[in-house]
Order: sequence, then C-alpha cells, then structure tokens
Amino acid sequence: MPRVGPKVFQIIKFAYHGCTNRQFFHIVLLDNKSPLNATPYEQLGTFDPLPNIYNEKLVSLDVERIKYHIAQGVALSRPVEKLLGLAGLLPVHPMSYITAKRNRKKLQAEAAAQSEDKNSDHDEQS
Amino acid sequence: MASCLRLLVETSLKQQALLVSACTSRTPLVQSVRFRKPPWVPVAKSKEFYVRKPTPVDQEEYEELKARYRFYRSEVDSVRQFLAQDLSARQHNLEDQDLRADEAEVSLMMQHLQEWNTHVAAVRNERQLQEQLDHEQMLKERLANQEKQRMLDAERALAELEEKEAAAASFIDPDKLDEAIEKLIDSRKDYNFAITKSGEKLFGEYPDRKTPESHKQS
Repeated sequence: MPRVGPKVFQIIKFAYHGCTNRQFFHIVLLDNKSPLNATPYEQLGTFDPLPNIYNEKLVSLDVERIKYHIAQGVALSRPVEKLLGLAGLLPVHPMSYITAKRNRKKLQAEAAAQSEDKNSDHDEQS
Repeated sequence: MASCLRLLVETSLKQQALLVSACTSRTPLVQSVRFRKPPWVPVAKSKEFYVRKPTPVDQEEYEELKARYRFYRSEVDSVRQFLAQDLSARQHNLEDQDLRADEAEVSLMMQHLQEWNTHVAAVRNERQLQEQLDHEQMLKERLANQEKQRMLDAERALAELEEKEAAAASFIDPDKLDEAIEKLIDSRKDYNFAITKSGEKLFGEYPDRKTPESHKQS
C-alpha cells in the first residue's frame, strides 16, 4: 500500500514579526506545514494591528500578486480572509458580521445601562 | 495517586541530571508532548479533575454564521474563478501583444539588415576594385623594375666582359709560354734601394747598371 503523506498546499497567512506585546505581521505565501518563521515564497504585505497615534491600523497589500495567487487557487487563512474582506478584495467575512453584531449589542447594552443609571439617578433626586 | 507520584518526583528530582544525561544519549525515549513542564511532573493539584467547559455558542449567531458561510464560500469561489479568467485573458492578450511586437521588431531588424548589407556591399565592391587596380599597378611596376634591373645587369656584364677582354690581351698563350719564361728569366729586378717615409725610392751609390731594363721596370 502506498503511504499517503500529509496534504501540503500553499497558503497566504500572517507571519508574526513582532516581539512581546508588540504584534506585527507579514502577509506571506507559505506551505501550510512550514513554520511561520520560515523564508516565505513571497511576501504579499504587512499588517500592524496596534493602532498608531492617529488611531489607524496600517495595512499594506500587494494587490496584484494577491489576486494572482487567489486565481492560482492558493488557500487563505481565516485572519487573511477577514482582512481581505475588509479591504474589499473579497466579500466580507461572516465572522466580521458576527463581531460587528456583538460590538453593536455591547454598545446598545452600554447605552441602555447608562440611560437606566440616569433614570435611577433622576428618580432618586425626585 | 497524585500525591504518591509527587513523592516519587521529589526523590527523583535529585537524579534529574542523570535522567537528562540519559535523554541526551542515544537511548530511545518515548514521552508525551508537554512543553512547559517536565514529563514526570504530575498534574497540578488544583487542576486534577478539571474539565474544560465548552465555549458557549449563541444558537442564533451560529445559525447566522452557517448561512453566511455558505454564501461566503460560493462568493469567494466565484471571485477566484473570475480572477482566474481575468488572468488567463490578460495573459492571452499579453502573448498576442508580445507576438505582434516581436513580428514588428523582426521586420524592422530585417529592414535594417538589408540596408546595412547594401551599404556594406557597395563599400566592399569599391574597395575590391581599388585593390585590383592597385595590384595591377604593383605588377606593372614590378615588371618595369625587373626590366630595368635586367638592363643594368646586362650593361654591367658587358662592361665586365670588355674589361676581361682587355685584360686578356696580356695573357700568355701556351705556345708563347717558353718565350715568356725566357723573358722573365732574363729580366732582373734591383731591390737595392731604400724607401723614405713618403714612399720615395733611394737607390744606392752604386746601382747595378748592367740591366737598364730593371731600372725602367721599377
């Protein structure tokens, strides 16, 4: 019987290039089995998830090459799918909708709590 | 059970160095994957009977996620297909453009080549004609020189011949040999003289008068 090895395919994913408490990611094309610090086939962008002084999360993407690789059928990791959805290259990821919904709910709950607090204060004063 | 294990560990910690050396040697070691703690350290007491609670899943969210994922996957697939088609079409166009550009370049090159060839041919023909003329001129000059040299040689030879002929007048023939010998024997030479620095000959006080011919000869 021939032994079937692990399925190896190429994937676009984040590679951690920061240090402790300071994330910084390269968006790279790698084999799914290779470690994240491996030399990538190609670097396709960067992502800095920590907001800077202008409250911006900086992303750079090599759109042409990413399009090319997507057309070639390489896989995309979930964070990359989310990022590309927000960038407008792919449809928005379902999880982004869910996160947004959760955030909305949280905001609504906070607002409701604040209004309740105000009402209770008003009642006490009256 | 766990406390027994802990006791065992406390005793065995002293032999840790030994164990480590055993691990680093070539003896096969089968151990479970446990990164932070050494394999022989037991489970912490507070975590002995710990069972992880499953992450709570909001059923509504879950259903929505499932529905959205179906659409999402098909949309991503269609984007993929579209990009692939776009890419192949663009590559096709590029190839066509390349081909056309190549053809144009080749025709231009051939035109240039033709021009260069005609120009070079004209220059070459002119040069070859000139070379032929030069060669003919050179041959003519060489022939003239040869002719001149031959004439000179003939003249020189003639002069030499004349000289020899003139010299041959005084030659002694075999039939006149005896007579010449007699004459030579009869002739006398007087060497009784001194020579000054300037080459003047000073004959002595009593020169030999018996053979006046000898004086004449000297």
